[in-house]
Amino acid sequence: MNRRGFLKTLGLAGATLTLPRTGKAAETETGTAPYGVLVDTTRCAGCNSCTYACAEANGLPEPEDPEAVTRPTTDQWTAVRGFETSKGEVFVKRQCMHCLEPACASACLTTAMKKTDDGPVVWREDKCMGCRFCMVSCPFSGPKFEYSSANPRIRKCVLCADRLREGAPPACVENCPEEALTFGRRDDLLRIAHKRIANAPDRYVDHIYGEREVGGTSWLYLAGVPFEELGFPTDVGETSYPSLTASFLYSVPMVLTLGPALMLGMAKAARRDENGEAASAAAIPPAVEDEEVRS
Amino acid sequence: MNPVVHDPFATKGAEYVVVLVFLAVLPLFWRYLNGAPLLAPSRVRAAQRQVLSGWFHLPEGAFYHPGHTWAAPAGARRFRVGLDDFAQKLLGTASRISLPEVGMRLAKGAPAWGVEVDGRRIDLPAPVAGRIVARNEAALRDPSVINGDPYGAGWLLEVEAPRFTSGAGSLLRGDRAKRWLRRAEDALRLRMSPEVGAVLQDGGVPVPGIARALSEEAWEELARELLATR
Amino acid sequence: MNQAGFASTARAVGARGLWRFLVSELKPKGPLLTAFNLISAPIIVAAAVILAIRFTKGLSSVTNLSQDVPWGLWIGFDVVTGVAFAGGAYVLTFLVYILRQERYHSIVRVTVLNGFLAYVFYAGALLFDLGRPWKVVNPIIGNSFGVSSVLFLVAWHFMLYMIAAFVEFSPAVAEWLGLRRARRALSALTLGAVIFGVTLSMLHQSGLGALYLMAKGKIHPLWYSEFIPLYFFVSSVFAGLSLVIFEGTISQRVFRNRISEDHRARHDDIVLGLSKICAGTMFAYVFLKVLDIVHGQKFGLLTTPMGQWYLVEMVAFVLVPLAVFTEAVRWRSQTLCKVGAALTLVGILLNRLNVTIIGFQWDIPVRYIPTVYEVVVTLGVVLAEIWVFRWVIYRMPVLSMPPTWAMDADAPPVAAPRAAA
Repeated sequence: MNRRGFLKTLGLAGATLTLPRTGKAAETETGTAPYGVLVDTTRCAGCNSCTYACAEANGLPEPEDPEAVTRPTTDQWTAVRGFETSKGEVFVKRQCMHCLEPACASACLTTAMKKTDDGPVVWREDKCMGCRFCMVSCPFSGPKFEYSSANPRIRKCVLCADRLREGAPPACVENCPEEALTFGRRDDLLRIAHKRIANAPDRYVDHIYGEREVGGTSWLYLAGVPFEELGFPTDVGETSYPSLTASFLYSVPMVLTLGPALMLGMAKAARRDENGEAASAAAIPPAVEDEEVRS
Repeated sequence: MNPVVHDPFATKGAEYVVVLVFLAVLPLFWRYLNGAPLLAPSRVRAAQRQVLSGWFHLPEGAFYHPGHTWAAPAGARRFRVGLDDFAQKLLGTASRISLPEVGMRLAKGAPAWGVEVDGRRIDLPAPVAGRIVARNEAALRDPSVINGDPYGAGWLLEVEAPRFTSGAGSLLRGDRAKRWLRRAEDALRLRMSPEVGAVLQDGGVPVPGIARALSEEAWEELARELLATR
Repeated sequence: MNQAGFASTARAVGARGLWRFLVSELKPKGPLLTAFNLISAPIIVAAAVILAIRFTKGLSSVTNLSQDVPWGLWIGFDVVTGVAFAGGAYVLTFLVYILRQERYHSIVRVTVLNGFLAYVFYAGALLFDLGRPWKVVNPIIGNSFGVSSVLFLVAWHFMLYMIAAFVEFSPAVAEWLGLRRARRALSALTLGAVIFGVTLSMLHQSGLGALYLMAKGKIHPLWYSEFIPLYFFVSSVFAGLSLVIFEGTISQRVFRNRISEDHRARHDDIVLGLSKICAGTMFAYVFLKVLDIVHGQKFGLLTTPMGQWYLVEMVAFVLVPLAVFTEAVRWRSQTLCKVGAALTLVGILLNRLNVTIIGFQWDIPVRYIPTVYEVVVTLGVVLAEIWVFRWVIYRMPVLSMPPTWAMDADAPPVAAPRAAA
């Protein structure tokens, strides 16, 4: 869980606003938001340069026929897919969305999935037990699992976390010839996206996918057609997925406290009636309980 | 996302209606579920096979008190009670039976009614506790119906027993009742003088009034002992 | 007599005697060539072979799991359904040790044993499904506590509950081994273990439902609800009790000579009592489900094909068994009780599979259908559990009476039962 989410769940969100920001995030030039990527689907030509760059940067096998792969796989973490829409063919690059409050990370019982402060959601091999709860939980079905391996790993886009630490943008962004991909701090990207929509209202639908979906994602999308037409799940809601389990998880300590206390009391109360109970449970032949003459 | 006006409590009213329906139906369901079992004696006899446990009939579906009386459900919380085949055969035809009045209360296990045979009265225990709501006037007039049909027409009292379930554990039914009756039968066999026993064990079912057949002089004591509710 | 015989030996020979006794007890006691053995042994062997392949060549070699459907039969049936069926243990211990409903006492041991073994085997089957099972200790040993995960909670609760259930059952083990002092100490722990176990059960029965809370959008809306945890918890009550009824009728036949007179005599009344609890719980459950339809405004979905499937589950396998249980209680009919229990078990199986498999990713082009290998492994797990169950029944005082020394040691109020024999 990222620091923001953690503090928020503690109910201290208000307090943090008044605290001075400290640490690495505060020293950066344009803001404190995590890194992200803005995808402008109106610019994408579907050349798959990103796909090749991704494979090279992450040590994945070189894609043989990337156009045939329409969804990310264990060996190809990003996939470009063309959609026939009302405005002609539109190409959409899809990969892990790197949610601000990722379902996968909150689902992980070993903290193998982790949201880093910089923005990437990464997977750590030494922790993962391969339960695939992250895959069940992810609203975008981002994590992929190596089913055909005896030592399987979870594979997905890691937002080139290693490159980010060295100050370089993700490989896909660096290699996009059409400037469809923009790398930056997420709040900057949102500003840019809103500006593009405002400058060309005919070119874009007035919606940035990922701005509010599932509580916000690090990857943001602009499109010229409604996002339903581009295969985006539009029913995921605006609340973060981890919050779906929050009330359950917070009730657990309550039940663990109240349950034993109640049951001890009930056991005590029931024992007081034991004489009556024992009589009815007596064995064959039963004793006659009541010697009173009828009245 | 298009900002949609979302009312988080849109269905709250309907939910309360469902809950009200639930609360209204719950007591009905509860009463239905906890009401007296539906097996009325007449239906017991029609529906269940007659179980002949050794010499004596022991219909399933009735509850047996170890003092050889039975209780069988007869509608909501009502039970019919009477004396079982064993008692009937032991005592023989009664000259008179004395039943408590309608409205009186029976205490479980306490003597509830008397059967007079040859001017001597044997008291039998009530199998259930409750208030008497009806008496079998036909049996009062002609006690021989008890011998003819001890579990059906030979019923004696109808009792309203609202708290029957809690006491059911000490009554016998099913396999437990069968075993109990077998033991009672064994006890009876031990009492038999060899010559009577030989006659009976030839396969003949005991004649009414076994107690008298066993011991003409002390039959009353014998009857009391075998019907005793210890 | 076995126990008594050993008890004296144990005192005489000590640890070595104990070892020899255990080795001798491993030998089968019944005839080997029974129909059940002849059918189950090859299935268990086949399951072992399939698992060997699975661990060398990966999950895809034997399962139909995919990137869209990461959890299949091994989770949906073995873990989610199996644990619901094991719910009888916590309900019965609650009835007997908390509410002191003594009439259920004679079936507590067998139910707790069943529950304990179900957890060991079904939760154990989780290991087959884990991609990297050698890391399974990670959330336990403390280097990676994923406290925000529902699965973390469920995993811990499984483990703790297994311990609690074993403590509840342990007096029977002590009686088998003739360990009188250990039995006294373990018996003293029972109430604590029960209270802990019931609390844990409430939480992980609902927790299994909570696992699917984040699968919103993937589970058909008729089965997805923010109240899944509640539904899973409530339905585990009648699921578990139905299994107790069902298992009891089988035990009554199979282990006839192991069953104490007392146990057999009370069984009819026990079944009726459990049926009544089932009926009451199901009645409330039906309204809880109606509330979800109202709350989620899902009426329109009921006319779709999935909606009709939902109605089949709710009508044929919840309402009908509810009515059957109610009438069973009214007519005091053992047969109807068994019919109700069987229908309920089918209903629970359907419900859990509807949430985990049938309604999960119901709209993707390639639906998940388990392979025959997955089914065989599942059967193998169930059969292996029955083997161990039978092994224990034939050795420990579970259905039969405890040894006399153990009964004498118990508190006076329950001294009566021996009069039955």
